[in-house]
Amino acid sequence: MHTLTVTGSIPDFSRPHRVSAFGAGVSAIAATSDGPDTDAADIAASVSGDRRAFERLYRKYCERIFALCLRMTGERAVAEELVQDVFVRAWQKLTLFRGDSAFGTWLHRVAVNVVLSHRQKSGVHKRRTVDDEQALDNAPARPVTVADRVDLESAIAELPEGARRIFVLHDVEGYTHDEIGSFLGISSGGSKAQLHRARMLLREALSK
Amino acid sequence: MSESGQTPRMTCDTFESTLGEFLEGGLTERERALSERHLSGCAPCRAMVADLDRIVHAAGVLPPIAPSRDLWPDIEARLDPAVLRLPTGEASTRQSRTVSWRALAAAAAVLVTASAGATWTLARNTAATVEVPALALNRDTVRGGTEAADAFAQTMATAPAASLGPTGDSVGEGTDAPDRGRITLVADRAPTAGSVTDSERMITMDTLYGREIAKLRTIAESQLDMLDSSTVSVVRRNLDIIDNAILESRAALESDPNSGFLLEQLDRAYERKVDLLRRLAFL
Repeated sequence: MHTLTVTGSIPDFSRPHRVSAFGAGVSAIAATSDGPDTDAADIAASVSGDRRAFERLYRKYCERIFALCLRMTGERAVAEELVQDVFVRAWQKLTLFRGDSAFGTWLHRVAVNVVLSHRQKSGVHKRRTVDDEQALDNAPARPVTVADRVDLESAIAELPEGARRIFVLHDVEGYTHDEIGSFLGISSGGSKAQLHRARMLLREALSK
Repeated sequence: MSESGQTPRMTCDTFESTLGEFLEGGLTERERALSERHLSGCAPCRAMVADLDRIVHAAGVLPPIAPSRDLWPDIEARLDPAVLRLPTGEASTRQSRTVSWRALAAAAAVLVTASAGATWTLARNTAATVEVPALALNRDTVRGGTEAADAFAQTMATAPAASLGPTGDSVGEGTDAPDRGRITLVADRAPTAGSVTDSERMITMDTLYGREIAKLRTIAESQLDMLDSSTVSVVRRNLDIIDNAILESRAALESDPNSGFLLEQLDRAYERKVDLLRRLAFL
């Protein structure tokens, strides 16, 4: 049994382990030696139609975006299609990028919108939402232990879609509940509740 | 399961039922105090919180993942060619530059105003591609925005009468002309990093959407014939609303060219138009 010493305070789960407002994904990008500062020239060139410049941006960010798409959808083939959609959309929308935030941050938002839009259009959303609720209701009330060997990626992929989306958006990507609520058209409270359920389901899955 | 023995007491079930709010900071001070008191005296619940902490931490440092193949070729195949090409590097020395950005902005404004007359009716009654005479704006002869606008207006005036109509697209055929060898507008300076202005963004947006709208409109036109008149009427009314929004956003941007909000409004209006045409095209 793992233990945690609690002396009147607990970890801040509402903004956990964040270096930047957009989580490890964007933090990791910012930490690279060829970080956002070098993006400006490629962005300006891309806006003017320079595909090679845009390809450089793609090379730099594609793995982060693919990870986001894969974790959000749980399906590799779909995620690869969505990555293409994300970068095509980014190419079309690049004129709107004003540099108010890092390019990686902006690109992640584009990706989230593309993924969510895909789910709505595919009609999967409604069907799985029902499944989500059933799965969440059936979740064991009190998992026993968490195995030492954690395969979080696999566990995330097994989450019901609604719970997975919110977990990825909040705990992986670092979006706030207000932002998630805006993305998904749900209340901030609903996002919090789903997140907690997702975490509990993960705990259960990882304890097997 | 143990309790701290202090009162008021909280059971493990109660603690767990409020754990989500507890972790997200959603409890009142009193509720939080009760939860913390319970936590301090309950090892299983502390373990649960610790487990969740580990999960959250692990999620925050998950690594990137590589796709199974290089997706760039497929992406590049879907990128539209740049209609308005801002030269970079050696491209800036090209001899084909014809108009300054200021003149281009003015010309674009005139273009939008003039092409606002292109209608669905027009598209149905004319060929899929309405030929507009080639336009060559030379920097030596076009000194400023007004002159460029005048030159462009004159060119539009000499276009086939069918290319102008009472209502319709804010972005007309002219904007995708380079694809058809009609109009070539090349900027006269290379952009520096981050130097893309809002006027330039607006023009590029017009171009990109204009091309897609033109393509979709051609397809959508054929679908209109299969719809009943009341549906067509609704479609046209909706397009008029969107076109008005585009024109209003553009007009506002003329007055406040640095407004990101207005730029986004323009983008959304274009997106709505593309979406409507796309749905119509795929009926």
